[in-house]
Amino acid sequence: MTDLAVDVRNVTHHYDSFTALDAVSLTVPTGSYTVFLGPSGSGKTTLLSVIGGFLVPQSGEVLINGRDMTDVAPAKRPTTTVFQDYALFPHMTIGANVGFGLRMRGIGSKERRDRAQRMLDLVGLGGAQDKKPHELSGGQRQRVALARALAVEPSVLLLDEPLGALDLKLRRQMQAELKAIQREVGTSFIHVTHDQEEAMAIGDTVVVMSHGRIEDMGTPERVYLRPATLFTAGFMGQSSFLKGGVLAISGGTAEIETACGRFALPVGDKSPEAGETVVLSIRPEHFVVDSEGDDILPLGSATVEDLTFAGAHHLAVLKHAADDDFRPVAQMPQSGHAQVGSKVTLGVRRDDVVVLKDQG
Amino acid sequence: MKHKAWRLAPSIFYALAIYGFIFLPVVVLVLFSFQDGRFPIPPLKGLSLRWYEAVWNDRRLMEALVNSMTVAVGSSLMAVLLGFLSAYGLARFALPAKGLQRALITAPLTVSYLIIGMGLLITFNAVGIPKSLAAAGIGHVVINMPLCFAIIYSQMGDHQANIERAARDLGAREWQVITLVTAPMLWPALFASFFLSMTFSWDEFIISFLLTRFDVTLPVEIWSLLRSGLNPKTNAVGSVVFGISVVLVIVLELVVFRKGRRS
Repeated sequence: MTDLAVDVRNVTHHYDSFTALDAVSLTVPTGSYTVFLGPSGSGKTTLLSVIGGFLVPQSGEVLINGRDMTDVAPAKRPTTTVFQDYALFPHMTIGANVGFGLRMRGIGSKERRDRAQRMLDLVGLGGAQDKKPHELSGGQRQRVALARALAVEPSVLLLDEPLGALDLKLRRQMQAELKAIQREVGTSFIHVTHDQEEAMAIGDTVVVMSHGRIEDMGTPERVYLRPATLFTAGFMGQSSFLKGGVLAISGGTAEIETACGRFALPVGDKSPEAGETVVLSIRPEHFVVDSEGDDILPLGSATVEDLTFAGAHHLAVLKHAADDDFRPVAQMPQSGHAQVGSKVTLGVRRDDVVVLKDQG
Repeated sequence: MKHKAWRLAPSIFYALAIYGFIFLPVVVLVLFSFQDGRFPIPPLKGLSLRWYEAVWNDRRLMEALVNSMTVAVGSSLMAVLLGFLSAYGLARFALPAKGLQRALITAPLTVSYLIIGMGLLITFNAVGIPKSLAAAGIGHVVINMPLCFAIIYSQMGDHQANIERAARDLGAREWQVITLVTAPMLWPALFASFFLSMTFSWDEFIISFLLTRFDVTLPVEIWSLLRSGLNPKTNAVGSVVFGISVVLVIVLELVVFRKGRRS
């Protein structure tokens, strides 16, 4: 039991008629970095509040370190939260901010100062002990909030969109630092974000949420390469979708009829049934242009409609010759002959295609 | 340029007339408190501090001044404390009929001091509380608490609610949240409401008049002095009252506005 930092069991919560959490269950192993990813209104922040104790769910249980904490107040939980707006105490010095939790635990001022200093060193703000919050920049306040939450040595640290207010460069830098700090202190981190790049870069586990449900949960690689649902495929990274109908299933392979042809594709354990509508999800970098081979499914020809230079490569929006509604987005070489209006032959490696149930 | 000066002249005249209208009575009062003669009326016969000396040597006046100070400080502390607690409760907790409760707390602002004073007089009579400085102090709490509530409540935002949440998350109990986080964060608002209450209590007359008997506040003492006719001594004590009010307002401006600019 103790190898689970957090165990959420069947939690449901409604705000008036809006369902914020719909029978959510998940486990967070001790010492891992978990990211809740989803659009606004997906329930990710509500789930964090439930774990932090700021919200008692209408049904379900929350276990932390194996103990039922569903109704326990935030102060009495082994969790602390880094708030989105940092919520530093504006009238206290940085040292007093970081030492506040220790003061509440009756630890003397000398030791508080030492431990606050250690925490500030950890987040790279060693010299800020006697400053006031308004003297620091946004990124520095963020670090103080982190140090303050870590100072009381929680089992689980909850971060509510901690990087949302920072500019892009600082955000990428802080991602790396958060991950490094997590490895150093070994505390379980749960981090809420709507930025899928951030989620992939930072999480050991990514939990994709939508409409109060967990859509997918796994390592970033697994979630990106083998998304469990259509929503996940569309939200975590870019993907092109080709609709099709299942003709027959045999031995883990499905015979699928699409506007671009008929393909035999491997399907996983959540195999669709014959007669069902499915969607083939293909990542931009998985398209192959103007090449053939045994393992390549030919998707027919398409016209380049739009071309965007993305540094390492070009991103092309294509219009398929046989199906007007299929507008795949494919990665093209950095330097090449492709131009708007040119015709290309499209293909994809058989193993890269993900077959998903159509969610309508 | 000359043309502009012409058009400016009526504005300047208007401004002078307004300020004259407001401040001339006070200027006259203060000026004739220095009268070297027996009547506070023109002509000014020369400047002298003898009437201030007379005030200083008048035991009843000095006692009343101390009484007024005590009532002002005591009632203002009480009004700020009650106003702060009610603002905290209404801003931070889900209470039944919140709008109505808030309206009821601020309602005394619209009731005249005479009505409040009469109501308290009748109530105290019925309950058996004698007329005293404490009774007048309670009256001042009644008139100032709504004001303190309104000022403090307006300064309690959601951002601060989040900061209080952070304190609770770090293990603070409710009284620790209030004393270590909420009150220090609202320091300017608390200070402003305290000094505003002080100035209102300091020169309040009707309630003090109705609710005090042997020990009286300064405005009540001045009133009984006035009954025996005008004399420069009343001007002198009036100037003292005015001077202390000015000091309170200046302190308020300095502390609160300097604080406001910094954060």
